[in-house]
Amino acid sequence: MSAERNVTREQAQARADRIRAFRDELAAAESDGAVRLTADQRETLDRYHDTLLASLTARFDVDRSAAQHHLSLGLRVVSLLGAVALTAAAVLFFQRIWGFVPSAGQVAIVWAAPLAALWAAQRTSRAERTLYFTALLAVLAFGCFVLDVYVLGSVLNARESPLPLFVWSAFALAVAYAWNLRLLLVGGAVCAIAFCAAVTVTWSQLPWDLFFVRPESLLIPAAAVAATSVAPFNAQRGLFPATLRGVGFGIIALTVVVLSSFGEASRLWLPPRTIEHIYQVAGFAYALLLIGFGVRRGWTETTNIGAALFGLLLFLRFVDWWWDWMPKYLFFATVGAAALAFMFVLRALRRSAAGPHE
Amino acid sequence: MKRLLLGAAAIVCLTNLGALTLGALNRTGPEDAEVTLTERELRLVHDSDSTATTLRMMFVQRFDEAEWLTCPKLATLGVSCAPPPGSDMARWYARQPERQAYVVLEDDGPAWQSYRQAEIRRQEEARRTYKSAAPDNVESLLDGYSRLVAIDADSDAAVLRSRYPDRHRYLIVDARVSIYGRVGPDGNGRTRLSGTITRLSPQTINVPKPYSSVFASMEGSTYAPSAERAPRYWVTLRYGRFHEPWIVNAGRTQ
Repeated sequence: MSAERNVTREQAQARADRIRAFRDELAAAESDGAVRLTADQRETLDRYHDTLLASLTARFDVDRSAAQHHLSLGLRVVSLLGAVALTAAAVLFFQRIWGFVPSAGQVAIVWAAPLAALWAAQRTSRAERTLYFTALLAVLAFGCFVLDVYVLGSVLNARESPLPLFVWSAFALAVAYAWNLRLLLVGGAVCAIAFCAAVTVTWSQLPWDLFFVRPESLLIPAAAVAATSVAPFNAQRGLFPATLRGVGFGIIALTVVVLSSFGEASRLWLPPRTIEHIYQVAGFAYALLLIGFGVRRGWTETTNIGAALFGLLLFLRFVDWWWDWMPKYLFFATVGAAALAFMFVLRALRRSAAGPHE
Repeated sequence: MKRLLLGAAAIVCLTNLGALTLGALNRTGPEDAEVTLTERELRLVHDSDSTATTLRMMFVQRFDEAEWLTCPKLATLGVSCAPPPGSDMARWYARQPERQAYVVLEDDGPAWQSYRQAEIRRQEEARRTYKSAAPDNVESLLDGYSRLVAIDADSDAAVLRSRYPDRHRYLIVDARVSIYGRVGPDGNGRTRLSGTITRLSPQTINVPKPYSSVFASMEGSTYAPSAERAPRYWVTLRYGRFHEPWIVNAGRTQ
C-alpha cells in the first residue's frame, strides 16, 4: 500500500472493503465470462491483496468479512453503552460516599478520577488496535471530569458560570484528537459552541445558561465549528470533518427552525412576525445551499441535513397555513404531495451528480 | 498523541487548581456578610441517592402593597415592561428571559416585622369576611416562615452594600429576576406587571464535615412550620468577596 504510513483506521477499513468488493465483482464477472485472468495474473493479484490485507489487519485490525463488520458495529454500540453506564456508576457511587468524606478528600477523589481513567485509557490503547475499550475509558474520563467540576462548584458553593463548558470542551477535544474518537469530538464541539454562545448572552445581562432563549448566539460558533472541518489539521482525520460539519450545520439548522416559529427569541429589533418570516425565507435558502454544497462536494451528511431541514420547514409552514381550516385528510394528502415533489427534485439532483456513465 | 494526553491531564489539574484558588480568594480578606440563620431559612434537602448534606435557602418576597420589584425597578435591571409595538402582548411577556441581578435579603428586620403584621391583618380580614375560611393559627404558621425578606435589587453589588452597610443583617446574593403579568387589573383596567426573584445563585449550600454531623439524625424528617415545632438547628453563614457563602459554624438549638 503506497501511502500506508499516513492512513487512518477509517481509510484502512475503506481499502479493505474495496478489496472485498473487488474480489466479489471479479468472481461475478468471471462467472459471466466477461473476463478471464490467467493463473499467474490471479496468483499475483491474490498475493498482493492478501499481503495488503495482512498488513492492514496487523496495523489496524480491520474487518475482513461482512460478519466481522457487523460485530464491530455491535462493539461500538456496546462500548458507548458501557461508557454511559460506567459514568453513571461513578457519579452515583460518589454521591453515595460523599457524606462520609471530608471536603479535602472529596476534591482529591474527583480530581484523581479523570486522571486515573485517562491513564487507564492510555495503557489500554497500547494493547488494542481497534480502540473500543480505549474509547469506553476515554468517555469515562470525560464523565469523571464533568463530575469533578460539578463537585468543586458544590463544595465551594460557587456561583454559576459558563467556564466549565470551556474546560470540558478543551478536555474532550484533546482526548478526541489523541485517539480519533468521534463521540468526544461531538461532545467537545457542542461544549465549545455552548460556551461561546453563553459568553455572548452574558453581554446582554442575561444569565449565561439562557443562550437557548437567544439562539442566534449559537449561529457564529456553530458556523466556526463547521468551518474547522476543512482545516489542514482535520485533513487526515477520517470522519472528523464530516462529524464537525454535522454538528455545526445541524445546530444552525435547529436554530433557524426555532427562530422561524418563535420570533420573540431573536435579538433583531423587529416585530416578532417579521423576524419569523425572515428566518423562514433564510431557512429555505440555507437548506437549498446545504443540499447544493453537499452534492457538489460529496458531503453526504451536509446534503442530508439540508434535505431534512427543507422538509421540516415545509411541514411547519403547512401546519401554519392550513392545519386550522383544512380537513385533516386533505392536509396530510397535501404534505404527501409536497414530499413527492421534493423527491422528484432530489432524484433529478441525484442523476445530475451521477456522472457520465449513468 | 502523548502531547494531547498530557494537555488533557494539564486541563484537569489547572481547572482544579484554578477553582480552589478562586475559592480561597473568596474566603480570604474581609467578608461581605455574616449571619446566623435557622431551619426556617435553611431547609435540609433530602436525596435518597446521596449522603451529602445540603441546605436550601428560603426567603420571602412581597407581592402585596409593599411590593418593590415593580416596573421602574425592573427597568434598572434591564427588564422592560413595554413590549415592542405590534407584538403579541401575551407571547412577549411569557417569553421575556430572566435577568441576572444582586438581591438584598434582610434577616429578621423591619421588613419581616412589616410582612408579619400585614399577613396577620390580611388573615383577620379574611376570617371576618369568609368566617371559617382563614386558619386560626396564622401567627403560629408565620413563626415557621423564613425571616429573610428580599428588599432591594441592583445590577451592582457595591451600590447595594453602600445602601445597606450592616453586614450582619443584610445579605447580598446573586439572583435571577423575571417579569410576569399578574391576574387582575392594576386600578387602571390593565393587567398588573410584576417582577419576581426566580432563584438565588447558589440556592443550595453544601454542609461540609464536621458540621454535617449536626444534621445526622435529621435525615428523612421534614420541617413543618409551627410555633410548637421550634427550628432544630442554626447555621452561621459567611459570604466572601465573590458573594459565595460557606458555613463557619452550626449547631442544634436547645
